[in-house]
Amino acid sequence: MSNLRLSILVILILIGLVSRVFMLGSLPAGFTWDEAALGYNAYSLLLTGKDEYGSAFPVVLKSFGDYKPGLYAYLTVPAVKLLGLNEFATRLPSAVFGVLIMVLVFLLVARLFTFRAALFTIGLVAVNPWLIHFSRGAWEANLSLCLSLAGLLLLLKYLRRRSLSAVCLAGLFFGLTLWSYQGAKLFTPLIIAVFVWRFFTRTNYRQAWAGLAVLVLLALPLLQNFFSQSGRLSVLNMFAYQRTQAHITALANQDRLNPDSPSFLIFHAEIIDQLRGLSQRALNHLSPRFLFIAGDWSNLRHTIPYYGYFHIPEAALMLVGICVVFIRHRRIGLFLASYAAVAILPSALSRDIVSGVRSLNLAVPLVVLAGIGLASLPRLVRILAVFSLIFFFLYYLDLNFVHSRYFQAQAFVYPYKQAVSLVQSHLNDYRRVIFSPVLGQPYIFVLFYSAYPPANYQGQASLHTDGSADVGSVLKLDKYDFIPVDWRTQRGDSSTIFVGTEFELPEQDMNPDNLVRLAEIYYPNRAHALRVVALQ
Amino acid sequence: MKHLFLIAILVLAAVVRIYQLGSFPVGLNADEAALGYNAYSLLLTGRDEHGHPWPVNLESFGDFKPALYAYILIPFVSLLGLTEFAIRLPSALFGIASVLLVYLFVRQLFNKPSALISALLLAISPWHIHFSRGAWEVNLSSTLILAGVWLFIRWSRSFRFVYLGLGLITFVLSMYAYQSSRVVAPLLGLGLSLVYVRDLLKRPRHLIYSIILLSISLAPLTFSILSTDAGSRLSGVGLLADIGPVNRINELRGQHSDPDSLIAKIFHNRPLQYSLLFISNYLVHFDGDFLFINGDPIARNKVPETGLLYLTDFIFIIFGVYYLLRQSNRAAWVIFTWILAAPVASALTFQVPHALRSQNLVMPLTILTALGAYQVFSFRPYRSLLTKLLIVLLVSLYSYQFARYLHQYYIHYPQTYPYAWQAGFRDLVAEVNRLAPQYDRIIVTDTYDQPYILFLFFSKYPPHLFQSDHTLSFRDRFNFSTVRSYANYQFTSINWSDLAKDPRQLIVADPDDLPQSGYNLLKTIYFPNGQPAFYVVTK
Repeated sequence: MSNLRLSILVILILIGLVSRVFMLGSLPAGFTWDEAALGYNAYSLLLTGKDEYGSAFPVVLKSFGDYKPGLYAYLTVPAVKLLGLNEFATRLPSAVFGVLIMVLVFLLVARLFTFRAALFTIGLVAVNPWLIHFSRGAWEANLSLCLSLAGLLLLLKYLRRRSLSAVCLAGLFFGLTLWSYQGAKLFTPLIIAVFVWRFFTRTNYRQAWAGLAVLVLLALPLLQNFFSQSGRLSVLNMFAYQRTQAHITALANQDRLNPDSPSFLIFHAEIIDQLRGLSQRALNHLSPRFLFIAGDWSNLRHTIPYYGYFHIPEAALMLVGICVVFIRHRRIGLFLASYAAVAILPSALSRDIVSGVRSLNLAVPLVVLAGIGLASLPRLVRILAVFSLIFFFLYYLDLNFVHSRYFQAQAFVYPYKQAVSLVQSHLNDYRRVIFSPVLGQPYIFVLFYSAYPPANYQGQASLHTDGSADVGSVLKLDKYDFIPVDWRTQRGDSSTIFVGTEFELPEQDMNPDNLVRLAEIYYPNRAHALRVVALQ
Repeated sequence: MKHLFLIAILVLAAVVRIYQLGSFPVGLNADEAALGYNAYSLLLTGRDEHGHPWPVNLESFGDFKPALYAYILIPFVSLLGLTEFAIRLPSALFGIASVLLVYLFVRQLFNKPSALISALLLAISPWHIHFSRGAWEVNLSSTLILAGVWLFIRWSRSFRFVYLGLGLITFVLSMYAYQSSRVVAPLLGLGLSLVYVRDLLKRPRHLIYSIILLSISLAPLTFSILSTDAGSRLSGVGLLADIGPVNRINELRGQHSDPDSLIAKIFHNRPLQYSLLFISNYLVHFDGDFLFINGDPIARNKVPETGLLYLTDFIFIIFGVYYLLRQSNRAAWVIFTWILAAPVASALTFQVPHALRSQNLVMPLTILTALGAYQVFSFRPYRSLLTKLLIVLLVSLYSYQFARYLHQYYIHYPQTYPYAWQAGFRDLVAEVNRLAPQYDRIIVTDTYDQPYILFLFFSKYPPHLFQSDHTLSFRDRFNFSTVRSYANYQFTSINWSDLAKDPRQLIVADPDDLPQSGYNLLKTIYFPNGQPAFYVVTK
């Protein structure tokens, strides 16, 4: 490797590192309950070797009843040990995996294609909005992506060297994806199948069975709980959502048919609607709107406003890349196309119209195509492309670092940090805290921001589920009651702190004599978030 | 019978395009009525509805419709009368012609089996059928573009100027037929010339003739655009009429600590934001939801729960792209160029994605599907029983989807979006005209687009009377005008409390305009789904 190339590589990795780590603790503005749960469980594991519910070294964290795969929390333990229990420490592992992803994609392209194309690809990965976004936050999907790339690289190494250790390590990494992210349970077997289909020949299976054995071994502890925890699956599963009876009746009335009659079902059976929905979701992930214009438009947690998951010039680069691979490198083309198809599947099969997190794996084949496209352009066009990419990247940085907080703070439950620290500072003066759960899962933020001793919590942890939602909630923790504020009946209480929205604690009713107004908490866009008051 | 398959396909195309053409789509929309009535006016007086003699663009609602379709309508209206069927028939005929042309074109460019499959798929294409049924200018212009591309390819095989010349003329004609073609046809022409640039440069005489031909044939269009207000259409529906980017610029600049800083200005300014909007408008025409699942958001341009293409087309489009890339010859680039050029005009407007303005995209996509399908059939390892099974499977899949489309089109479309085609006006006008002699004044709600033209159309109001006795209103924010009154008819928003209590005044109201009681209901006109559309009342 020439010095020039090496220094370019180092610079690109640094750019990628900085865009993943800079202001990591405070941006995205806020902290999701899943992040708080992973952080607190890491803290709990660090101090007691048990999760928040007291199970020792669990593979799966019960958390809010969503049974999170536990690996991310384990990998967060060192960061929490070194940096303390805070947002930065919880998010740091993901940023590190983000940098590792850069390196792994580089190696993958260098193996499959050329060193030159790999260099261009790593540049695109470094500045990729999709991969940056999910590296900035405790996203298990990012960890899973990183592990599956490592697995693929090791499989390639196995094919080259026929080394048993490589294939066993590949099995290990692929197995660990199952411990890190729900979507991997579908993606990992399929991507392995795709790889085998494209790259294995008749002669090189033998030792591969060892790798498979490692993988199956790692999957076993998960299988054991699979059925008891399948509630989550049925909620997320697309087939659990059907058309309303009113909709079907309206259709049948137009047909002047009975909704159960065979002639109605020919064109309007539930399965047809389901297939349309499935195709719609699959196609949404390949749509320009998703990739280049808006990102995951259904969820502001998954994207920044006014920007897609790729820079717009990459649309042209991908087209060039597609041309290059299909004209000259058919096998790689088919591998990348199947990679993309398999990456979409977990998301297409779940309920949301589109999802940037469940389809995160899709970023890899697409960015590789763009990288190959960029490397194949004539010199002058390539320079132009690079400059336009730099411009778009700077625009992206502006949107992310200056503007995103004004749009995303609601989605990232921004007000909790201020609310919890305020309540904690007054906690000794009051008997009780009524903390409205209206923004979602407040208990985990109290645990997280007060670094509540896990040993004390494990004994009293009790998740309340009422069957209406896919996750449960915690109603009580020491002085805290996580129940909606009902000011009409509670306004006569004493020695109580209330945390609620301006609708739960209406301005015109803030008039009992013993009332102390502790704070008004606002979102960065000045929308009212929470009101904190106390009755002495 | 050498051409048995082709003839069968053409018959199929004709049947699905002409069967019940006058009554489906249910209703008649204002644009169709305008084309019909202007043709009627040209036939009888040689002037359009507003009295302009033999115009290149019809002023109509201030949207300056390209006039070619109205001229083509003249013989149809003269023979068949001013009816829905007569004014829709030319579009249907051009639709059938497209099916033939796509066969000729693909046979020339690729091979005969692909040509037959292309023709079959175009014959049953929801996108193509939808815009073949109705007096849409777009189908005429897409057919002309297709003819032009075919003639250009014929030229590239024979190098006889007559093909190039005819091809240019059809391209130019398409620009006289539809607004979008004024952008797409030149772009596509330029693209094709680039693909065949070496052949063109080797024949400088052909180039010179072409330039002369173009200058002559485009002169009337250029003159019309420069001398009338015809350019205003773009400012009404164009990209710049969308104020979203301006609001966004203000919003985002306000979030910078110094809204006037260099960074805020570099990233949040009109040229950049409108360029991004254009790119995004262009790209969304390739959204899968638009092409395969739900189609256009506008009810007039879509059938409920149906894509513009069949869902299974997606698979074959992938195969088609793969095949063309493996070929990567000039034929492949003709198709790719067309796909890239087709949505440009639509992207310059602000209602996107727009199935009507980008309709010529259906041609290259259908061809791509056909090429993909042919590849699947000719895939060697499967030549056998398996291939036959595959064919049976595909034919049943497509038959099913086609049947479902027809079902949605004939049963659910009119009932789900009854307002989309302004259903009810035919009965309404008949009823109002029957009652009219007993009243001094007739006031009609303007809830539905341009009611005056539907009254003119259905009552076959003498054009010479209308030309001298009406005024166009000021333009609204989309740059549309309308006619508020002619003779003793007035078209306005009904504000019940402001209306005089006058028994000599007949009122046609949208049910939502009326109070609970206090009017004398003479007649109710219904939508196809049984919901009331109009109440004919007196106060």
